[in-house]
This record gives sequence, C-alpha cells and structure tokens, in this order.
Amino acid sequence: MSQLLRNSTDTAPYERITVKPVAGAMGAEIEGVDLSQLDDATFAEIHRAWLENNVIFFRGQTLTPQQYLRFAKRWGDIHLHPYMKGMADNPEIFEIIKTETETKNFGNRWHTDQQFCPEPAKATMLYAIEVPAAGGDTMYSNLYRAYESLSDGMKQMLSGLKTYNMGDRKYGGKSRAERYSGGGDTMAGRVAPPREDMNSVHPLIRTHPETGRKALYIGSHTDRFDGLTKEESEPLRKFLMQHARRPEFTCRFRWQPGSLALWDNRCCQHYAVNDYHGQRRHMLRITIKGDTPF
Amino acid sequence: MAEAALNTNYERITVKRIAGALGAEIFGVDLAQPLDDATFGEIYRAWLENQVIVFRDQDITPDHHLAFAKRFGKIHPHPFNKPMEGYPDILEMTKRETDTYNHGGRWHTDQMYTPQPAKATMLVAREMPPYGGDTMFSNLYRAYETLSDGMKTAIAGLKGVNNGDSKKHESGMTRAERAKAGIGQMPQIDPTDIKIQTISTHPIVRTHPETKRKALYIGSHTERFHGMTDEESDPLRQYLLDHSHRPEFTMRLRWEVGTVTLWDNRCCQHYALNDYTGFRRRMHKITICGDTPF
Repeated sequence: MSQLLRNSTDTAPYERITVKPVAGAMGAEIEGVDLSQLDDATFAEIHRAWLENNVIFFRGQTLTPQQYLRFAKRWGDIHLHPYMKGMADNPEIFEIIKTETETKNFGNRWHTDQQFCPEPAKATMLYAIEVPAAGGDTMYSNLYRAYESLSDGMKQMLSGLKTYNMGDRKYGGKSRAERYSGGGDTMAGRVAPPREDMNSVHPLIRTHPETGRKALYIGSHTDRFDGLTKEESEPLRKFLMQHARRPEFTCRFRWQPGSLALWDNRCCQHYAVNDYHGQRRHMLRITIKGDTPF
Repeated sequence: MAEAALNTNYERITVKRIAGALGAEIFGVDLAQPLDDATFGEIYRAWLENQVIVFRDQDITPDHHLAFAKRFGKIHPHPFNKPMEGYPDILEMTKRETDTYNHGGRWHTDQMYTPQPAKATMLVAREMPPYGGDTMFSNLYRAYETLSDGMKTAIAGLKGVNNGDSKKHESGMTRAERAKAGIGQMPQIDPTDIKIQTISTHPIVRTHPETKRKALYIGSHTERFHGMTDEESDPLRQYLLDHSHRPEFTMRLRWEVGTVTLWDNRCCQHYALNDYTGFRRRMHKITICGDTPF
C-alpha cells in the first residue's frame, strides 16, 4: 500500500483540458472539451490523462453515432464483440439496454472486457443516452494497485502463471444464451455466438504496453490457471479476484445523460451495478482493438 | 428493489436518492438553525427510509452538531476511544499527512461488540483531501432479503459473537498492544482497562425496532457464530460478509468540508476508504444510543 496515490504533480501540467481526480486510486473527470471536435494537441492530453488515471469521464456530451465513432477511431481500430451483435445501422456500436420490466443487466460482475479474446479490447467507451434517476452506476478497480500491493512472495509466485479465460464461462450454471433467454430480455436478441467457443490463455501479470507498468490481469472470465486443475486454482483465483477490487483500489461513477466513460481494459476491472429495477438505462458502447497481452 | 422510486411526500425538505440500494441527499435544511418538529419529523422519516442521509455545505459548530445529534437520542460514548478536548460526546478522527493507518477501513457496523450498539452515527467532515477518503455504505435489509428461503431458515436462530478488540485485527495486536506500539491515530481513554466489555453476542438476523424489517446483522467484528468453533463458523461467516456488501447493495459517498452524514447502524454497514495517504482528513463523530438487538 506504499504507492497509494497517483501523484499528478509529477507530470507535466495540462494546458488544454482540466483533469479532476475522482478518487484516490483512479478515475478523473475531464472538463473543457467537446468530443465532437478535437484538435490533435487536445487529444494528446486526453490520451495522457487516460493512461495516468485508468478511466476518464466526460459530462454533457452531445454526439451523433457518427461523431461518437469518429472520436472512438482516434484510439485505434474498432474491436467487434465476438458474442454480441452491434446496432443494425451502426454495427460498430453495441447498444446496451435494460428496460423498466427487465431484471438482468449486462456486466454486473468484476471483469475486464473480452479477456477471452486472443487480443482483448484495449479500451471501452460507454456513452449514456438514458439513465435511472438514481442507480445504474459503474464501479472500476485499478489492477496496477492490485498488483503492486501484493507481497513480494506472492508477486514472485504469480510471475509465471497464466490464466485460462472463457468467452462463455457459465455463471450460475448458465451460458450466455441461457442467461439472456426466456424473459423477453432485450439483450437476448443481441447474442450471436461464434461457431467455436472463444477461450484464451494470457499472463496473470500483464505488462501494460504503453506505460510499462505491471497489472494483475484477472477478471470474471478467468476460469482457472493454465496447467492447473480447477480445484487447484480456485482458492488463489478467488483470493486474487477479491483482492483486485478492494475498496481502496476503486472508484464509482454516477451517470447522467451525455456522460461518456473511457477505460483501459489492460489495467482496470469494472462492474455495472444492477440496482435500478423499474427504470430504463440505455448506453452505447464501442470497444477498441488491443494487442496480445505479455 | 422498489424503493428506487421513493422519496415523494416530503413538504419541508427535498430528498434526492444517491443510489438504487440506499442513501439520499437532503436539501433545504440549515443545521445551524433550530429545526421545527415537523421538519425534523421529515428528516427522521427520510433517514429510516434511506438508511443514510447526507446534508451538504453545512456551516456548523460542534455545539450545533451536538444539538442536532441529540434529537435522535442520547449520546452513546465510545467505550475506549478518547473524546475530543472540551467535547466529551464528540470523537475527533484525524488522519495526518504522515499517517498510513486509517480508522474504519473494513466493512462494519459501529460498536457491534457492545451490548447495546449505537443506533446511529453522525459524521461531520472538517478537513478533506482533494480527492479520496470516500465512505461506502451497504444495505443490510437487502443483504437479508436477497438470501434464498433455505438460507433464511438456516440462519434464523444464529447468533454472532462480535469482538471489538480482536487479535484478528489486521495489525495482529489488541487495542492495548496497538496503543503501546503507537499504531493507529485514535487516542485511547485507558488502553489497559480490561473491564470494558468488548465482546457481545447478537442475533445474525436482526429486526429493526422502528421499521420492523429484518436485516443481516453482520460486520467485521463478527468473529464466529455463538456455540460453534471458528473453523465451523468461518465458511458461512465469510460468505455472509462478502454477500452483505455486493455492489448492488451499496452506495459511495464523496465528502466535502461541511458534509454531514447520518447512518443507521441497525441496517447498514460502512467502510472508510484508505486511498489518500499523504493528505490530511479530519472528521467529527457522534454516536447515538441504541437498544438490545432482537
């Protein structure tokens, strides 16, 4: 717990944007930008703020799908979700809706996006169209902190481990299709499983390709450690999952219509809180291609 | 989860829900002024309905704080933490720039180890870090209500043994040993006084004496179940603790100087985040007498 704070005074000041940290561990709100029109210098500062804060938030944005996509493409090529279909007229945008009558939501477990892909999405952005009056927040945790706060003995033991991550890991004994079927669930119509299940092996301790920092790369897709049995893996997997989201490593974002969050899946977990039954929540998601974890 | 849409029917105050599970901000009240009974009645009702209520931008003295607290009941003196100079009913909790130990950095309900635990806790933020130092709360009604019927039946008769001076504290030391070693920033009344009762047994399923709702009354002070060994208790104790603060049952409060928060220990846990090392944080705390849990 030595390095508890981001020390933003160590870095060069921001000239084109205002960066306001939202918690000790991670997260910052960026003020003073309209994402529909960004010059390169402003974009460079946003990119730096993103690497420094793991997740950044913008408020009050009004973006058409085309403007949203244009902003997204500044971060890289679009990563399409292997299991979920995009919008009919904008297939690169994935619509996440929970209606007033649904009880399930999408993403209410601690995970990092598409960890089951050989090259998981490096970034995810979410743009809020409709949100409940209260509830429907997203929580984030900082996986650099999770790694750094482990003991030296544990770090050493984990250094060679690899995780086995499953695209359709069963939760409560149910597959994706089973979870989203039978309730008139909006997301049911969006499940489009690939022909073969997608599972990937990645290092448990991942080096971020841009910052060079090490992170504890684990999430709810992680089924076991590669080469170990499920039984052998379980106690350590469970400990690391709980450790990864200690309150000290987290921040929580309350959405408004027009809010946009952008997070780095290489060093963050997130959790979509399902506490708003009876109210509608409508978000637009875009994910950006990443590289092979090392 | 129908409470999300509550908070109508207030005439003298404005009540704005913070999250789906619990918590509300109260507007239209100046705690430096005497409160008429009708306004206080609405505040009290909002507290019972929301479990945690938050007042922003209150410019109040310790005397105002005391006067407001006393409307909720008699003051519950802390059994071993030493009160603030000149105010025997107020605890001052300071974490200095150089301190790393943080008071309350675990999921707990206040003074659960006393025979009649404090029913309410009221905190005033006096000095805050620029970011970090939030408090998280969880709703123990929800924690109870979401258990299966089988589990509800199984735990119906269980009692928790709650220890306020456990060697299992993360330091591995008792209160007296910590005081001697200079760990922890809370001054003690008399660390060697062994007459203080620091172990109490209470029902795990507690009925709130005012709302009559049942809550899962468990926290970090709960060491084991009465009549069972540590080994027998531990798997279920751990499960119930983890369950009691699922993200869906929680809210997160970001403090500012002048924020006043009141929570109900009979149906809430809370957790003080230690993510602001290097910054100073100072709070004033008053707890209100409660009754014997049933």
